[in-house]
Amino acid sequence: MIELQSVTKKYPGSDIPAVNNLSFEIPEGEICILVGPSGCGKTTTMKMINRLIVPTSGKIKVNGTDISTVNPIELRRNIGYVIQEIGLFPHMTIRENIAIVPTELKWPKKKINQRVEELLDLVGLDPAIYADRYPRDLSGGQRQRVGVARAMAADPPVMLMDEPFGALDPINRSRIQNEFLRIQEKVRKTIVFVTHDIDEAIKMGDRIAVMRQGSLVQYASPGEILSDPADEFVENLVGKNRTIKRLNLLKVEEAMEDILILDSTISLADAASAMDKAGADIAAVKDSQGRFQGVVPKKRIRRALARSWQTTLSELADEPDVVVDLDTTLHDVLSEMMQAGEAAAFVVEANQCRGMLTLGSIVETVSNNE
Amino acid sequence: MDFAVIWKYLPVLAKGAVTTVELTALAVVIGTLLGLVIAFAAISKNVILKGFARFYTWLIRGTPLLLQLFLIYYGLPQLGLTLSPFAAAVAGLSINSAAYIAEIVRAAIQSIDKGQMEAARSIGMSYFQAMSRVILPQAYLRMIPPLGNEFIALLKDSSLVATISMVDLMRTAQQMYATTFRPMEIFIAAGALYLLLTTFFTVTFGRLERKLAVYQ
Repeated sequence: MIELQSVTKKYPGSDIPAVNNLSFEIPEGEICILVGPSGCGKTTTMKMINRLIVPTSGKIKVNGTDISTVNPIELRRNIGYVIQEIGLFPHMTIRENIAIVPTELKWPKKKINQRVEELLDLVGLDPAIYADRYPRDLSGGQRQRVGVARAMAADPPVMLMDEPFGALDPINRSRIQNEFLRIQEKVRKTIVFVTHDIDEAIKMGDRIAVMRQGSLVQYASPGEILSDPADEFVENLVGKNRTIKRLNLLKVEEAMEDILILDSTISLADAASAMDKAGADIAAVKDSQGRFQGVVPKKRIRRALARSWQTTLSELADEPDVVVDLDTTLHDVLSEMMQAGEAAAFVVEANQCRGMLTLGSIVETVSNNE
Repeated sequence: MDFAVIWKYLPVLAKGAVTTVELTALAVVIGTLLGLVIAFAAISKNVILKGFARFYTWLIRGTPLLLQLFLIYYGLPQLGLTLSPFAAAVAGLSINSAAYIAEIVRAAIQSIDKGQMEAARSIGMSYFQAMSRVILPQAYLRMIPPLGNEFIALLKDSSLVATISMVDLMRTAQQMYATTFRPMEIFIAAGALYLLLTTFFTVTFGRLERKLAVYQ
């Protein structure tokens, strides 16, 4: 848990404090997003938590200990820190970069190597390929994953992240955000995450601290920030399209419709009548081992029957264009659907079709949650 | 021109070249150590150290090497400190090159992105660890090309010590020409020896740079 008690930071030569009498708590295992325009004090606030910046007054406690009483080097080894790309050391290999803190903590070499490989696996990079490369050999997204791995190396209970995904293109950013949320499900760190992107804040945060000119304007869950902005400033920050933003909060699971699943071995006539009975325009096809093969529209089966084509259900089924996971956000599903020009998305996990989403089901879910 | 003269006097010139190499090598080592100290003074937060470093580079870079050598060799005896030509030459060259080396080191360290120091500090390195493990290893690579230039310049500038009666390659060439009246041949031979030595520096530094640049 992180507690800030009346924390103020004044820089010499400036009358207005960079951070003004800030008090709030971040519960253990949650992601707290600090969001606001540049110069609002969000980065200063974050840097005071690992004593890169010393507050002028006030107290900060991490897991009950006043950090001003802890040796800063000791403190920082227990607080993972991820910054934009540049945080990796270019003259060290990926392995050496990740191993820095464990090496300083004098872990045995074997344990360090194990940990490096475990972490690379966790962030989705094959250790056999990447461990001994240099940062310049990796793409921006891969480097950012290494940055996350390095911050988690010594398993610190607290992590600070300063616009960690800011330098990535939108597609990579959304992918790494999803992966990071999946990792956080497992590791449950207490995280302070700085961003100026309200969409990222809504998607990633358990709580959002909106800051303006060094003060806290609102501290609430993303849902509350959307439905009940504290003042005009928050309202403007969130923007007019609050309903659209809510798409970032909703997952596929909540908007998913059931889909009729047909065995690939049944005849086309049986398939058509099963679909009639269920009132389905589209069905998923599974093979004899229960594996998802594709989807088939009823129209196509009807046409095949009318023209007495010699074909099977598996041959008529197509791999769908938009395939998503249960925990993809509706925002990402919609943007994929629009990119592909499709009105439906299919939920496939572990080779099983779990359901489908249509524009209608998404609209209904959002309006029910308003 | 009679190139047979060159072969005849080459061994004598080579002896002078050995002195030039000795002088340059000593000045490189002492100048680098002194330069490092001044560079760290220049980037420190201590106002006095910083001021001293600035003053030193301002003074040394702003006056001719020849004048510095004269001050040390001819001037210091007036204050009761008489140095041998060799000691005076080493002192003059070291003090002079230190100013340039300090600037090279300072610029290389300061050219490393500030985020690197911040990243190093934020994962729990002390200032000293961050310097030695993160900043300096990256700065070395950026220092190599200008240091190579500096060492080559030092080798050539060492010819100025001929004026304080040091018998280096240049002085030897002058003596040979005075006895043979064959300036063209003698100076071409001396020039070839200088070229040989500077080529050695160029090649060595090129190799070093490639070796250090594995990560780039």
